[in-house]
Amino acid sequence: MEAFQHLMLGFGICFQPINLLVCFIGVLVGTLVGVLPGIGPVAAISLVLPATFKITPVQSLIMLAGIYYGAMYGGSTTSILVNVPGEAASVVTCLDGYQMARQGRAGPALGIAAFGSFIAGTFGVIGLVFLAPPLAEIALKFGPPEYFSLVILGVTLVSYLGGGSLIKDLMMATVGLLLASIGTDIMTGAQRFTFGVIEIAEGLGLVPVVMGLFGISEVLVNIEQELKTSSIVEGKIKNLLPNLKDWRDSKWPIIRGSILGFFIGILPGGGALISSFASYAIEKKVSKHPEKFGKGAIEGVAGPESANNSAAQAAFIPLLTLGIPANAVMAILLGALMIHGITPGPLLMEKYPDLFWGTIASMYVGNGMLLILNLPLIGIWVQILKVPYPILFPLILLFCLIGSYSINNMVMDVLVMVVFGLVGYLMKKTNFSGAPLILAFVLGPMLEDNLRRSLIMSYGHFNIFYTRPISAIFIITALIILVSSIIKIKGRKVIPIPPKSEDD
Amino acid sequence: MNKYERSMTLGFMVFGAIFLIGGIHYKIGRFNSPGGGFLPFWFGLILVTLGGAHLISNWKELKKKEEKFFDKRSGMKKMVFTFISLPAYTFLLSWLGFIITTFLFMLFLLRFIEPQKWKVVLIVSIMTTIVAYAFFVLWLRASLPPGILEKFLPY
Repeated sequence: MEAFQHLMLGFGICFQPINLLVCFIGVLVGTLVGVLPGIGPVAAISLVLPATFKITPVQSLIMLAGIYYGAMYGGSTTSILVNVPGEAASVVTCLDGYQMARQGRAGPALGIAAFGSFIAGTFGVIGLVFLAPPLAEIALKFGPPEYFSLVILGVTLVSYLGGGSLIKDLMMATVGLLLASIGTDIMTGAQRFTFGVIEIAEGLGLVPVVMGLFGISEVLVNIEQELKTSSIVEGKIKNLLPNLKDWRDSKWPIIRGSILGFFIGILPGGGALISSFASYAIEKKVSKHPEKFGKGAIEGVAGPESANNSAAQAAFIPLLTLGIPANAVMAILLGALMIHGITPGPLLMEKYPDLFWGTIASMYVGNGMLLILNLPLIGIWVQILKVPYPILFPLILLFCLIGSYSINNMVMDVLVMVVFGLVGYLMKKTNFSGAPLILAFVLGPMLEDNLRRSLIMSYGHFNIFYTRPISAIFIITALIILVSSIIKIKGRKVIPIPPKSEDD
Repeated sequence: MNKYERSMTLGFMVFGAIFLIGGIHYKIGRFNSPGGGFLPFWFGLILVTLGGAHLISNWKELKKKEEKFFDKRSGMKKMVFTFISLPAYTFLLSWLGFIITTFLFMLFLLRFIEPQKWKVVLIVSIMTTIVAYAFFVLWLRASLPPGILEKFLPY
């Protein structure tokens, strides 16, 4: 009942005209980046980030959240019509979605993807409403050792679930932690690794680092490899409303996808990509006609599309209740809130109820807006798909340049972005993932602060991390993950998930 | 692992070593009173160790026949010129001002990286400059460096 009252407060905030407008802009930009291959939600959010500093924190979070879950909707359009995933979480939708489109069933494929996304998104938000408050209450009992252990577990999970090389992902997380130590030491006030450059005395800016690693590097790779979009499935898209048989076939995949996506989404590193693959695997396993998968089975679209949307909403739970981002997008949102002077965590709900409940309510509204944007307006998105990349990439670069400059009006920020653009490009070419780096970069100050506080509390004894029950659970889980993956590496190759997605 | 990945790993190990040494400089402190160099030292050490472990465990897999870093020479040229345009834009910005630099930047990328027709180049460059000026300068009030042209415009 209390949750319901809070939600009503949220709707009151969300229905203010300006908030409805930013929500609409968010889901619109999200759908756009979802549709356009070559730019994912991480890059898009980092591009829009400087603009959000001029609006209130509530509006900022509503808009950025809209971009994230909007991209999950839009991504399916490109997968179905062009066989190129608009963003990573829609990779698996290509398998059956594109086949359906080739058989003249693009309409039902797009329709079920949108409806499934809507149902799952709503399920995710309801889960968020009921799970977030008790979780925040538990988190209030956390002290420095618990937070340190939780960050360690989060970074380990992100590295483990990425699907790439664990050791490389752990290296990237360590790089992120080290980068976070540049600037003023919070406890002593001393300057570290600034080499006399005043502009980085406060540390490296999140926006230039993210824009470089995800925005610039992505463009450089695409330019070098001449990104070309495949041919769009031509012909008028009709029958967007799935028929009764389609609904019968999709009913359970949508329900299963929603639940699965929600629980995977809560886990740090879980995210939309893994949930969509897991959902596809489950649907194929439980299906009476597994041979139809890959040849245009509607279940192969409904399940994964539901799962990735549900996961996108669930990913907000650890961020809003514990202050721990579950993926790179959430890490940027955390950074954005901190720039506004707000630290997400268990007290967020109490201190900023307007921000917390306003954002959640906006997700309900945003899901509705997305349904309208993605079904009747599908023709517009198909036209946008035809914008050639040679025209698109200068715009992305320009946005990055102006965006990073305009935060502090400093050339140094632009140079930091350019340097990280090159580093990100080299990382992409050598298969090092940027996601653990960003996550650790954002969590770095929290980790250092809590580590040092814990050690001071325990007079230098490390047993503080394993004698306190909650902290012990986190640390032991992290250790089990590390040990099990070492055994796995020695035995056979790891989980069959495609190379790491930067957007997840 | 190919030789490029090996070089990158070595690069990260050097990066870790810098923090390790820097950590000593900024004082590691003791476990009961960790200093400013505590985290950089230990995590620098962890990075060097992880890098070393990665190199050793994959050394045998080093491919004999190396693939090229760039698939095509043309791709390399495009990437290099695009990259150079970024610091160039930054330096020209404070010299020529926002409008002229943005126009030239768009024109260069549209015409010389993935060549478009002049008509498209000019239309897109002019439109982008106007929209970017309106969005960033007039709406968001970002103080971007003014040049000759900006003197004649509302700011």
